[in-house]
Amino acid sequence: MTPDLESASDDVLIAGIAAGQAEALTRLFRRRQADVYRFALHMTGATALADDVTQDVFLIVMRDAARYEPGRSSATAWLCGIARNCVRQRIDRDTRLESLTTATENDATLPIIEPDPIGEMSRVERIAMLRRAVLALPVRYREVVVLCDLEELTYADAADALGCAIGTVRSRLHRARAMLAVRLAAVQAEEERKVTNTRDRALDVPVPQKRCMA
Amino acid sequence: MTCAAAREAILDFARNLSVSEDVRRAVDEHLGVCANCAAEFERQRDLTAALSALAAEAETWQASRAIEERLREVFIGRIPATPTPRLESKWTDRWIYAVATAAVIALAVWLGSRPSTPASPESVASTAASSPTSPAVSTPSVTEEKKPASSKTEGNVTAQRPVPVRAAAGRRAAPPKQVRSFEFVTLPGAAGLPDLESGSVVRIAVPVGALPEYGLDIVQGGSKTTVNADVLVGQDGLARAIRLVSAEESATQETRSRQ
Repeated sequence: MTPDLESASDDVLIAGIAAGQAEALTRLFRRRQADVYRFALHMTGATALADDVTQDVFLIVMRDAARYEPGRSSATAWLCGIARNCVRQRIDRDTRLESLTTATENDATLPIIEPDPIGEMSRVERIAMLRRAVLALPVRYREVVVLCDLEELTYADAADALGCAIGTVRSRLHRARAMLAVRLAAVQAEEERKVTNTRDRALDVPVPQKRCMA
Repeated sequence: MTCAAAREAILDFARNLSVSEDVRRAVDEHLGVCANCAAEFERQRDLTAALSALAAEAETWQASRAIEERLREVFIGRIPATPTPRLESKWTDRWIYAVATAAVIALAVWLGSRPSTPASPESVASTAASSPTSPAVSTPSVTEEKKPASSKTEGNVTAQRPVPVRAAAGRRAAPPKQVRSFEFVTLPGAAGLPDLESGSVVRIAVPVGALPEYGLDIVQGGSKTTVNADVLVGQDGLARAIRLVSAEESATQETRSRQ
């Protein structure tokens, strides 16, 4: 690989792609594919779909590299914006993904159960539960959580990726996190109920009696 | 600081974003006296920790390695100077491009002909008079034959010399060329395209009034407002040339499709 491309900025690489340099595409892909893939996987929960979205994003980059505006936002925000559109198209197309978004905005109004359930679970369980809770968020709330909290984009970059105002990003994030807290609390309550039921059933099992042989 | 103002600041505070010293001090003071906001802050901070753990786990996620090579092949295939074979995938499928191009041409021709005066019966091609009725923009029937590089390829039909008449009123028509309408005519704008290496022919319905824009003659004696035409689409999916389809050929095509 060309040494100067290895240290080149994302903006330079995108300009190189627009100029037809295959090495620039390779370098940008290796540098940014994980960002795009993670966003897509957080959004869809399916590795095959995340692969498809990643490929679609870079195909669009090939086509639209000349339209990229350096300085307007980071290249990661631009790529995430493309990925967001690809994901939304797939979600619109694929009804199976719709089943993941069963949440309604009314969920945010549910009372928060205390104490906070997150601290009660093991690390692996917490992460798995959190992934499910993120996936269950409505798309527009899910994408702000993924961009701001998981991909750690700034509010400005997230706003650029989503095509909305910074204030909108903040308000959606606020609401999304409230939804997450509610969901996690509900899941935790359900888990506790199952554990309690299992324990009660175990205690109700009659002890087999020895038969007396006369 | 009010609870509402504190809740605004708590989000950034709990997400470990940099906040001004004044805000930090005000929030600290409020959390010291408001149990509800303090509980909310604890929840948000724990949520941030949980999300950070999820983000840390996701650091190892990578897209399939096959994508890089596939993208590279597609990219190289799109550079005309590089003779690398094109990747045969759904994104580069020539037929998709060809059909899409033909549909766009047909739509553009149809839209372009709408504001103009409808072609008079006298200006309709005599050969089109006996052609089968077809919608203005019909689903193109794609023929399987491949055309050689030259856009001046002779057609296999017996050409009938049409009688040229004036273009439809209100249209800035290109001057009709002295060509036979059943031969391929290079489309305007096709001159700057790369050489034709391979291609396909797509049959579409063209409004008679739009023919002069493609260098074809309008001929008298018919009553149809559209005629069938073959569009030669190159290896890059761009249209190179167009020719009219004779009435006999259209009739043959229809008979075959009915069978």
